[in-house]
Amino acid sequence: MRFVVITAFLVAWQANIALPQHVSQNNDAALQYFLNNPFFADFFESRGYDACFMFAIVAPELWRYNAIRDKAETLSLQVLYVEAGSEYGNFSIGRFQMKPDFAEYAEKYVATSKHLQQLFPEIIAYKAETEREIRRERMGRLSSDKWQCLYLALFYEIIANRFPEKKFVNTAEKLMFYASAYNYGLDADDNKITAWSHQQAFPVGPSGRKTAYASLALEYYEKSKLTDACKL
Amino acid sequence: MKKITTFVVLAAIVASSAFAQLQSTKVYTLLPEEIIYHDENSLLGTFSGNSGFWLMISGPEGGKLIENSNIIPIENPEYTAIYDNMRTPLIKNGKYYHQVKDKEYGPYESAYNIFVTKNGQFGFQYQQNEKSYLNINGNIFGPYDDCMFWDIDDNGGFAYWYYINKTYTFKIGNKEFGPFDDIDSYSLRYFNSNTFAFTYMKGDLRFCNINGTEFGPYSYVVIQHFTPQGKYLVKFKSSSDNKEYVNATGKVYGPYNSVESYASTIHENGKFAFSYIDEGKLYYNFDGSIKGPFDSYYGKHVYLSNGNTAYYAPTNKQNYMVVNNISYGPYDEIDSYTLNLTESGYFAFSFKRNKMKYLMINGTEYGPYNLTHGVLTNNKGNSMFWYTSDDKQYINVNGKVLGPLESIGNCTLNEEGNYTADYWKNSKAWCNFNGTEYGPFDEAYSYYIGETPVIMGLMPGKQSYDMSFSYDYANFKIIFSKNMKHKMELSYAYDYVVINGNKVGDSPGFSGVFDESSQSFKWFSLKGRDIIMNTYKL
Repeated sequence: MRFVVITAFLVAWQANIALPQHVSQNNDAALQYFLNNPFFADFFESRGYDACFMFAIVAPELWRYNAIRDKAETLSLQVLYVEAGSEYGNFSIGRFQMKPDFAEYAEKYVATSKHLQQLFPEIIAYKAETEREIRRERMGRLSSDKWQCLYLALFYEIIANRFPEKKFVNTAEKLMFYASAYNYGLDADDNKITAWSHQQAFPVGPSGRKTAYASLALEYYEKSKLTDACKL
Repeated sequence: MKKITTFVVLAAIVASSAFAQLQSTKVYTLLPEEIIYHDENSLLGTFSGNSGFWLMISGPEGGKLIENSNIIPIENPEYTAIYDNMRTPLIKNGKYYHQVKDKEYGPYESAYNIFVTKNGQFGFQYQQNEKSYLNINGNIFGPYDDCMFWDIDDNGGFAYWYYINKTYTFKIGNKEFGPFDDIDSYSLRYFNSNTFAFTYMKGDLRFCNINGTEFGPYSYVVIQHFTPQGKYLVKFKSSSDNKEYVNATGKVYGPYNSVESYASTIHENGKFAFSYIDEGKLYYNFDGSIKGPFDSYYGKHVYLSNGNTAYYAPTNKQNYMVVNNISYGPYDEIDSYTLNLTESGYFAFSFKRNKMKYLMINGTEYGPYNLTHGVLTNNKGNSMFWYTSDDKQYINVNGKVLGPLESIGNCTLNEEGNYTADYWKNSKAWCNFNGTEYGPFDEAYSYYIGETPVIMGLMPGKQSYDMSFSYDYANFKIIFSKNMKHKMELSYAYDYVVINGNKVGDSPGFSGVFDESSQSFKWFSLKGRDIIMNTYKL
């Protein structure tokens, strides 16, 4: 346990010190966006979640969303996904850069859990009836901040449900794990998620420099805790 | 009865003419497990030229390049690049190929750095048996231990350097320069066989070669500017007195304590400007004419455009901007990086006075504002700036004010005076092209693909658009013709595309473009596993 505490501290320290300035500025922009758009805090708090923790999981994606949106041509991929199905489901859209196959996995998981069905009745309540129309409706959902927040809350519950015995020494370590799971894959096992928290694989600038997604999320979270909105 | 007959006939004519404008052609049928290749955010494939297109397919048997009626096997779509008249590199069975103008070259161990001019001159480099070679218009150069192909011009002239026997040589057309002990490999500038420049080392001493003439030795040399007309500005440090100098197309200025690295400029007509520091004071040299001394300052602060000049002139801790010899100021601060100076002499910059922000545009002062966010000018004297006043934001285009707005995104102004602006108003997103607003959207931003204006974003369902679905939102893309008289809307939420307000086809479209030469919209669609290319002629 002592090792885990030291590791968590070291990673947190690295997050504060080692990130280049422009990356830190990206987190400033994400925090500003969170503070300027109270919808996100209202949504998560109304459902009993720590809004600052939840937003930290996806904060690095906001920068990516802004950085690529002029270059991305996701509309074509959305059309292909609706028309041809899940073989085109591995692309990212929306502010939290969610993938259709992430949503599909989450929906299937809800279908196996009565507890999650009670928590998220709207997730599996599609108006559409055919598979194609359901994919189209799913695209509509993932285009909306409200639905992305709902899928993020569902993601949180699925991780908690998949790893019920998992203990975290502090919130920072928990965030590292959840952020890594969000970035790596909802269906990954514990070892892969933990290893991914230290993997410098998330691009953070035009030079091709990469850093660990979880360290970005943690840096954001620690910054957010200095604001009135996120003070403990 | 006669009226009904007439109506039926007219309706049939309208329907047939609408169909006549749409041509749909099957271009490929995807095999089981094959998909149209894409990365995480984009579909790689497009229409090119007047009637061509290409798409890449990936599947269990490898990749395919679908190009018009050709199906070209490729190993890895991820590493295959498609340009106007070249395909590079094509990888088949682990070997590399270049395809230029329908002719394929290879197989090679690796192939890269390909250039093809508009009139078809080409060159590329490749590796065989761990040696580097170049193929320039079919002629083979090499073997070398290493080389870098740099450029080729419309006349077949070319430039590259090669490394052999631990020395470097530049090859400019048929002339060779070297061998040298070392080179600055990225210093090479090339326009044609008579207009080129590069830097290199002999022992510890540095040299540069401009248009075939050697200059040096120096302890330091950098080619700061080099124009297609062969005009240049070279900064160097003398090895004898350790002072810095500037060579401006043959005229040497100096010695100076230091020449600012990023504060120099040269015009195609040969007029130049640079700044330097001497005894702690800032000076400018405009074509040999000295301005100064001024308070020392670091940053980009000297501008030259055609015969027009502008420079930042901090004096006795007061801030001035001098444009075409007229001094503006004093100000508390000048945002010198905001200066626009056009070829025709129109200019703009922002400054601060008594804690408020202002803009100086072509000699007229605008303000006070709480904040200024950006200013644009063009050669016709048009101007556009955006600012915050009393917590609201505004856009001023040629004196006409747009606002109040909640926030402003990207703004553009081109040489014709056309402008775009993305902003939020009444909690909705809008895009404005030359005064015509498009929206409201939940999110939207405008940009250009080449000369084609595009709006992309998020629209609320059930509003403004004929949405045959009941979801909250839908991503959309609107592609305009250059003159903006025609537009095509694409969304996965449609079972068709919308052209000038009319539904066209029976499938949602992707990879849409407007082709100016044929005055038609083009896009792909899927029918089952068939990829359909659609052309709608206006």
